[in-house]
Parts: sequence; C-alpha cells; structure tokens
Amino acid sequence: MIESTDINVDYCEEERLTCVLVLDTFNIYINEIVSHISLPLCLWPINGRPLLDYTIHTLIQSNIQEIILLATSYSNEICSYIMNSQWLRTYSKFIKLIPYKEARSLGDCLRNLEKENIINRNFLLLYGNGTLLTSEKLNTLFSVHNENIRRDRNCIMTLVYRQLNSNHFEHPSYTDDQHVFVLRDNNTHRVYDYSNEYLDKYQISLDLFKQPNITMEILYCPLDCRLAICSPDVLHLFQDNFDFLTINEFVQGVLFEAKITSHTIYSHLYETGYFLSVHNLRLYMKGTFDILRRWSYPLVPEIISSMDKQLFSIVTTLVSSQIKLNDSDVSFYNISYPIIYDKHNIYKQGDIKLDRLSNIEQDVFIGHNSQILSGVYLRRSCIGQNCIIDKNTQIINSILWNHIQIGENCIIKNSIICNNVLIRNNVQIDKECMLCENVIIGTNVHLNQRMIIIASNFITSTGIIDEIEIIKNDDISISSENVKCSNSKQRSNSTSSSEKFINSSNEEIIVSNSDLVGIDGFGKELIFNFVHDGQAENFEDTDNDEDDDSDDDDKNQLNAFDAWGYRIERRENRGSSVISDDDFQEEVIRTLKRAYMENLKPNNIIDELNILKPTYNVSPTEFEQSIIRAIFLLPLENQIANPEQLNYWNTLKLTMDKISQTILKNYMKITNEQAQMLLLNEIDLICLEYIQLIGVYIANILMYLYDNDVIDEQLILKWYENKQEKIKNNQLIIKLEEEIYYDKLKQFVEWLQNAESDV
Amino acid sequence: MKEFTVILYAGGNNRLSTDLSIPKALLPIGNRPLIWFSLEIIQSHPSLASSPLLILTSGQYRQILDDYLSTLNITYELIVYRQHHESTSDDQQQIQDELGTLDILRSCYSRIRTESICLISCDLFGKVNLTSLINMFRVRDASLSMLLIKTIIPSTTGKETIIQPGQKIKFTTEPEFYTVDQSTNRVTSIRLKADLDEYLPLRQNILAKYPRTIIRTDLVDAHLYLIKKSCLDIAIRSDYSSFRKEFLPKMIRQMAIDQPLEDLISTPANRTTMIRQQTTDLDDNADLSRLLEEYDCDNQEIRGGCYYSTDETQIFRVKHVLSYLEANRQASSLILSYTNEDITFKERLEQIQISSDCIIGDGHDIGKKTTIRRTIIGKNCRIEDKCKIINCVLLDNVHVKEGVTLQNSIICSRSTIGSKCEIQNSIICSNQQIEGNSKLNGETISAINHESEVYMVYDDEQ
Repeated sequence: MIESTDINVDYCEEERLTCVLVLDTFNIYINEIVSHISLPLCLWPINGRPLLDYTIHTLIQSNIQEIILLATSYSNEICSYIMNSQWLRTYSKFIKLIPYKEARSLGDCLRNLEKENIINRNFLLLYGNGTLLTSEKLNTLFSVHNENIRRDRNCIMTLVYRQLNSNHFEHPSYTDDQHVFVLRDNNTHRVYDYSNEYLDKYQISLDLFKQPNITMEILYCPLDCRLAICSPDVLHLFQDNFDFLTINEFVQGVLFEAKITSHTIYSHLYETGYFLSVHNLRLYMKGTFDILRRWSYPLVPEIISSMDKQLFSIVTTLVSSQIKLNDSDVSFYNISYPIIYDKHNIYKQGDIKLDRLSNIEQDVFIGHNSQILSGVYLRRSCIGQNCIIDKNTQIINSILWNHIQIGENCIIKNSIICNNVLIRNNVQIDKECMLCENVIIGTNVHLNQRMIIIASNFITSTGIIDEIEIIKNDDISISSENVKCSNSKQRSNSTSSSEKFINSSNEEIIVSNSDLVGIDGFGKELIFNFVHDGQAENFEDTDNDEDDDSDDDDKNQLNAFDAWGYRIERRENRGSSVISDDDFQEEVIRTLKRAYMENLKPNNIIDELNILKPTYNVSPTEFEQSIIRAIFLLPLENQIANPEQLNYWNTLKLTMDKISQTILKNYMKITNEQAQMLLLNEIDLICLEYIQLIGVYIANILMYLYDNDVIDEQLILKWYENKQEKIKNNQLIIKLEEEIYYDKLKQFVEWLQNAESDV
Repeated sequence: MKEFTVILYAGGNNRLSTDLSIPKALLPIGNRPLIWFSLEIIQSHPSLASSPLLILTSGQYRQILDDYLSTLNITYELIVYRQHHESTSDDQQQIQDELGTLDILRSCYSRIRTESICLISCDLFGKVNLTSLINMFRVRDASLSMLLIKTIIPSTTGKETIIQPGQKIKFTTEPEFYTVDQSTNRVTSIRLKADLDEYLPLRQNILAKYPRTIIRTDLVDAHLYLIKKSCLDIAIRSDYSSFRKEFLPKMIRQMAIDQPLEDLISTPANRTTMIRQQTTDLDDNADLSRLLEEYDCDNQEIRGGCYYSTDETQIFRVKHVLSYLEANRQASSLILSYTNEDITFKERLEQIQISSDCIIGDGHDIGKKTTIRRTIIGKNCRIEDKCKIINCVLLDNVHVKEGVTLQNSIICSRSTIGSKCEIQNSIICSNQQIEGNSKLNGETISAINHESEVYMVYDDEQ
C-alpha cells in the first residue's frame, strides 16, 4: 500500500516541480525607497540584468517546470517585465503571475495563493523577495523533503540554510535580519526550537534530551536562504491562522503547537555552494559584486547572456516572433549585446568607449554605450548603459544604473546610483548612499553619511505618481538620444518637474536641500516619516486595548530592519526609566477618569490599580504618590470638570464622594502613620504646585478628609507642627504667592485645635 | 625536559568486596589488577611511557600497591595523599568530607616539573588510542584535551539480556551536556544535570563564536586529561575542590567567552601571589615559590582552548558491577592485544568441559564432569565434581563444592560455596561460607549485613 502511494507521489513530483516566488520584501523602508524609483527590488539591475532573471535562470536550470510569481504593489512593473522577457516566450506555460496588490505580508500572499487553489503538491517557496542567487540546483531539495516526509509523515516544511563558518557576524552575506537560532536534531535535522530574537542566553528544555539517541545541534545565524520546501498543508495552515504574517511566526506557531497538531518542520543545511537571498540593499550590492567575482559560477553574466542567445534563437525559429520589442521600454532589460569577459573579472557589454589612460582594475562591469574618460579609476563596480564617467573620477564598490553622468574628480564609494542621476565635479561620496532617480549632486559636495537622496517627494497620492510617470517617460526618451547633449535638457527637465510639483502638490513644499546636495544640485534626503509617526503613536497610545498593542508589536517586528538590513534599535524609546513615573500617573488618572465616567465600583478600581503596579514597575512609594496626585489632579481633567461648576473644590468633592475617598482609605490607612504623612506631604506639594487652582481650597480639602475619617486629626496637627518648625528654621521659605495657602492652612488648623478643645 | 608528567590516580576504595585490604586499583580483571590495564594504556604511547609517572594513592594502600608495582618493570613514584581533611576524624563525616581531586592534586603539585600533565584514572579499561588525543593537544596548543567516551551500557550481549548480579542497585548516571564545535572538536561548555533546573542555557556570545554546535549527551568523561601546567597552576589556586565538577566547566566557560582564567583564582591575595610569585603560604610545600619562578605562568599561554577526542572502540570505566563483569569478559582479548599472550585456558582436561573463552588462574583444581563457560577463575581455586559455572567471575582461592550451579555471579576471594547450591545473579563477598543446598537469586552476601552498602559505586571524583 504504502509503496504504491509513494511511487505515486514520486511520479507526481517528477511530473511537475513548482516554485513559488514572493516578490516583496515587506520591509517598509525598502518599499519606501522603491516608491521613489518605481522599480521593485526584484527588478533592480545586477550587471545589466534584472535580479529576477538570475533566479528564474537558476530555477529553469534546476528543471523546475512551474514558476508562480506572487507580486504585490508593483505587479504592473513585474507583469510588463515578464511580458517582455524572453522567459515568457520560451516557457510561457510555466510562468504564472498572481498579482495581489493589497498584500501587506507574506501571510497575505500565501493566503491569496491558497484561494487560487492551484497548489496541490510540494513546492519550493522563495520568500525573501523571491530573489535567490545560487549556484546549486534546487531540484535536489525536493528529494530531501520527500525523504523527510518518508521518515516522518507530519513533516510539512523543510527550511534551507547555508552554513557559515565562525565570525559570521562579520561575514558580508550576513545582515541583521538573518539573525536566527535553530535547534535541531543532528541526525534527522528536525527543528525543535526556532527563534529570531536577540537574547543573551538561549534555553533548551531538558525534556528534549529525554528521547533516546538524540543529539541536539544548534545553528546560530546560518545564512538564511529564505528558501523552504513546503507541503500544500503549509498554505492551509496560513489560511487557518490569520495571525501568521511571516515565516518566523509560522515556524514558531507550528513548533509551539507541535503537540496538538503534530506537524513537524525539518531543516536542510548546505555546507557548500553559493547562496544569497537578496532582500535588502546591502545584499543587493553584495550579490552584484559576488557575481562579478564569479562566486556564483555558473551564474555569471557572460554565461547567462550566451544562454539567452540560445534560447532566443530557439524562440525565434520556433515562434515567428511577432512580439516586437519596444526599445524604450525594454532598453533596461536589453540582452542583445554580447558580453566580453576579460581578465581581472572585467566585463564589457556591447560597444563601450574606454580611454587609454583609464584604470579599470578589477571586478568591473561596463554596460553598453558607456564612456569612461581618461584618468578614471574603477574597482569592483558595475556601470550601467549609457553612462559617462568624466576625467579622474574614482568609483569603488558602487553600482551605477543607466544614463548616469558623473563629473570630474569625483570619488564615489559604496553607493547605489539609480537612473538619470547627474553628479557634478569634485563630488565625494564615502558611505553607503543611495541616489534615486533624477537626483543631481552639486559641485564640491561631500556626502559622508549613510543616506538616501530622492529628487522629489511623491509618496502616496496617485495623481502625483501619474505625473511623475509622464516625466520619467520624457526623461527616458530624451536620454535614449545622445546622452552628452541630453544632460542639460535633462537637468532642466527635472528642475521643471520639481516646479510642477511645487505648483501641483499643496501638501508639502519640495525644497531641494542645498546644504546637502549643493546649490547647483537637486534632491533631498529621504526621511521615513511614518517611522516617527509610529513611534509617536507608541508613545501616546499605551492606554489602548491590548489588541492594538500587539498590532504595534507586529508592526515593529515586521519593520525591525532598515533598508540596508541593519537592526533598528527601538528599545530605548520603549525603555522604562524616563517614562515610567509620569506615564504611570497618567495611566492612573485615566483609570480614575474612566471609573468616574462609567460609575465603576471603587473596589474594582482598586483591583485595576493593583494590576497596573507590576506592569509599570514602580516602587510602592511611587505608586502611592502617583495615586494621590492622580486623585487630586483628576478634577482638572477636561471631561470631568463641569463647565457649570468651574470651581475646583466642587468637582473634587464630587469625585471624592463617588470614588476617591474609598481609594484613599484603602491605600492610606488611617492607622498607618507613614502613609498618612505621605498623603499630607503630597497634598502639600500639589497645593503649592497649583496654588491658585488647588491651594486656596486646602481648608476645604482637609476638612473634607477629616470629616470622612480619611485623615486622623492628630496627624494633621503633627504634620503642621513639623512644617511650622521647618519654617522657623528657615528650611522652608514661603514665597509671596504661597501665603494665601499657608493662611488657609493656619485657619483650618486653628479651627481643628479649637474643635478638639471643645470636645 | 620531558613533555608530560603522568599522574595516575589509584586511590579509590574497592567497594566490590568488603575486604578492604585490596584497593580498587588491584581489583583483578582477567586475573590481572585493574592498574595493570591503566599502565598499559600509558605504556602504549611512547611520549607518555617515557614520562615520569606519579601514582597517587592513599596511605592504607601504599604498601600493597608498592608491592605489586615493584614486580613490574617500570619506574614510578608513589605519592600518598591525605584522604580526608584532618579536622574530621569522625567516621560518619568522612564520607562527606572526602577530598576532591584538586585537593589531591595540590598534594603532588610540587612534583610536577613538566610543561604538561597527563591525568589518568586507574579505572579506565579498554584499548585507548592516545595518539589522536596527544596530537590534538600538541597541534592546537590546547590548554586541555580530554577523552570522552560513548556511554555504552552493556545491557545485551547477543540475545541474552544481562542481569546485574547482586542486590538491585540503580546506577543512575547523571547526564552531562557537552556542547562541542564539531568541526574543531572544541568543547564550548560542559553542564552537569545537577546544576540545571529545566533548561539548558546557551550563551549568545559563545554561540556567536561557534555558530554550529552540537550538544552531546551520549558522551561521558573518561577521566583522562592532558593539561597545560599553566592551567593547573590556576586550578591549584582556586577554591574549588573537584576538578571535573567544579573547575573544568568554569575553565571552559572562561575560555569560550575569552575571559582571563585568572578570574577563577579564589582571592585577590592569591592572584597577586600568582603573578608576583613570592609568597609560599599557599601550601605547606616549601619549594613552591622556587617552582613558580622556574615555570613562569604567562597569561598568554592559557589560550589554547579545550578540545576533546572520542574513541570509537569500546572503552569504559570500571565503576560498577556491570562494567566489572564486562571488563572481565573483554580482558583476554585486550591482554592479547597488549602483550601478545593468550591467557585463555588452553589445557584440555578429561571429562571437563571448559569453553575456549575462559580464563583460569594457576593452581586450579577442577573436578570431573564440570562445565565451565564464559568464566574467569582466579588463582588457587578448587572446583569439585559436577559443577556448572556459566558467565561468572571467581576471584582467588574460591572453593566450589560438588554439584554447584553458578550463573552470572561474582564470587569473591576465599569464599566457599557449599555443595549443590544454585546461585544466580548474585554477589558473594570474600570469606563467606555458603551452606549446601542453598538457592540464591539476585542477592548479595557479605560479612557486614549492611543493607545500604553500595557496591562499587563509581567514585566520580576525578
């Protein structure tokens, strides 16, 4: 029985190998940048070809017969790429694009895929932007997964990692967002624990060791290939659990419920081979240079382009090619130019103009129709098509897209420069910078910080985007002419576009930051507004319901890494030291306010306050002080202060009658001298603080408290004596405006003494 | 100068028989004392064989051990250590106050004059190939190399399940968690179960250095260490009493997180002595300071890390009854491999069935119609007619009378088994007289009828 089904499974597998690519990083920082380039990360050029080309190439080499692309917000661009690429003409049956613009997370995409109901067998899932550069053939992974299933029927997923040797934190392929801790069985490779948290100590339950013949292995920060082989059940699980947003949450969820659902997850560790999942800017650069240096062999430019030619010839012979390439659209993806591979890893595409005196050291790609003038020094860089590099400029470790002009005597390091950027003379860029489309960097500008520079800020409004697209098209049509003469035009064009902006958008005036890019430059730094908004929200909305909080956490988790893959530290903001005191008091006031408005029972309020205590980590004295302050400041709150009775005392009396006195009685027991003194001191402080507002009513307040047996009269007298002594010893200096308070106090005390003697 | 000083720890009490005149080191296995096997291990590697050999023992066994060792052709030095703290003379307290290994090492510290030390316990049994361990120690310039062995609990041989003779005593071995880096064989942490609650903690900073580590629970310490003198210097100055349980895990932790080992030195006062090497108040050894001057302990030297080596061959420590039986079964082949002498019983006697896997000592007197299989019999044993002895260990001077059936049992020296007894899965201690026709199964017969007597419980202090 079992054998026959197994054979069936194998038969099916051989029939069709499916791979699902999720073409989005779901990193808001990257998507923000992408919105300024209108080219999704998966289509960014690596050595003259879009990133996705490399992945699809590998998949086709691995005999994957069905490729499903899950596109999100940029599905139009991806669609037009697919339509124009040679893949569709060659493998039209195999490539399927499923756009789902609303997807906000990986979970959304996979849920959408589940609805499509086209997956009914094991599939490869590439979830880190869908762009994996690898030299390995991935079809072997299916047999790994099948082997896991054969041994353990509950296996639903096999995660793929590549081993890094020690010192992996300095490994260039490692970025913070790959931090992961995996605990697995050394023999079966079953995953038992999985965490991507930063902890000082990881704990392993000793129960795991009770199983016989088990040897645990820890993989700490292996290179995350963002690759998994999934059973169809994975999609169902995503469908069933709406809270799974990422693979991390999925894996942790499955492992957590392993005892109930008995699903298991396995892992596979490659010890050799090149793997790089490009899902942030740092990895994008790393991938570009790795390919230049041929680590990814056979995934290198000239081999791929020669293969394309073969494909192309097949296609052209088989299909009478009626699809005419629209040159201006596809010039970006142009593949028709042959690539020459020279020694020192220098790649020359098509016709290029190289000056004799230029120094092209090593690991350089130069695109078609680019000009390198004399004295230029190039090392480990990628120059796109139609670029002009002027005299004596140094370009190191950088990626230049197409139609870029760089002036004389510039030094450009570690940067990404997008289409149609103009860099004037004597510009120096040191750190990882990203110059988005149409930016102009003025003369003598020195950029020495990591930043992203955009030409104009169009963020969300669709009307604006349309306009931009028109402008962009103009630019391209101009730049496809002779670049040299288009420069001036281009510049004027972009400045005019900015003017248009100033006219059209009334949201924010776009000012080119001349401090940053120079007087003759154009562009400004991209600031992630929503980040600050989000943080402000966090600050204010701490009193929201728990659901909201968890949402915030999710958001934080999703956006914990910036575009370069660095971890964003948020902890400081959430730290307790600064906010705890005030925050706690506000929280208490809010609680009381709500209790007052909703007529809650005082006992319930006390319970609620007690619960607040541990969450805010306040000391008992602080806790009591906060409560006292909250009670006396409560009448100042807007909604409670009755417009008809503007009198503070009247409102206080109302709140006191309703809730406050019970609370005071509960916390400041009349028998507890220390607490009573604390109460009096605190009232004293509040009165002095709000002398006009509260201080004048001190007699009424004390009277009320005395009448209602909140405060013992002896203690009032004692406290007053202490105070008088301090005044005598000049420890307390009464200010002029405070006299009214002390007068009232004196009156009350005198009355109290008299009343006592009367009795 | 020699590279190693070999320290052989031969101090353990023999708890197999109540006859305390025999130390554990002289417990016979295949009619040779246990220490003989350890000495063979040492002799098997040239660089250890030529090293000075210190044998640690307690005062009461000094003479008997010396008598035996002098018959062998080796040079050695016997060092007697105080077995208990002097302050406690009360018998009951002695057990708790036993000195740890480090305390014992302190007593012989002054004799160490080499750069490295090989510490070995006399109950290690098996064919140990030290070459890989010593090479690793040298190549990696390790601070410490240790031999770890697979826990083999010989529960079955072939189809038969082995039943532990004697009273049922559970040997619950405590799991030890060795976190190791598999590619370099580096030990990154050692945790004992006793120190843990529910979770095994792993420090992030260690994981960051060794991203692919394996937690092994299937290994046990063979109590064979190669240590740099500089490390031992620190161990001697620490407060710890046990080397393996206290000092070693801490030392490995310090090395893994790149902290100076000097932190383990007990008090700041001691640390200054260590660095300045002036005072002598650490121990009553007068020549300590002179030695310290001679072997300057450079801080930088203690950076070698801690490595382990595993041996695939069957090695185990003779520490309880089961392993004692197992050792006896393997003794003949092991002796053959060491010295090329076949000690199995070759004589063929009329009307006696003796299988070829038996070892029978000199001076035997075996009666007719007796069957003996898989059994080791000591010297001067007398076995009368019609006996059946299967899977047993008989020590010296045992007298087995007529028609006795013995199975899976240990009979200690000078005992007499009365006629027609049937004894299964039992231990008979020395100088016992078993009356005729008795039937024993799973019992322990000893002179002191002490119920809670623990037999050959492994003494873990090494």
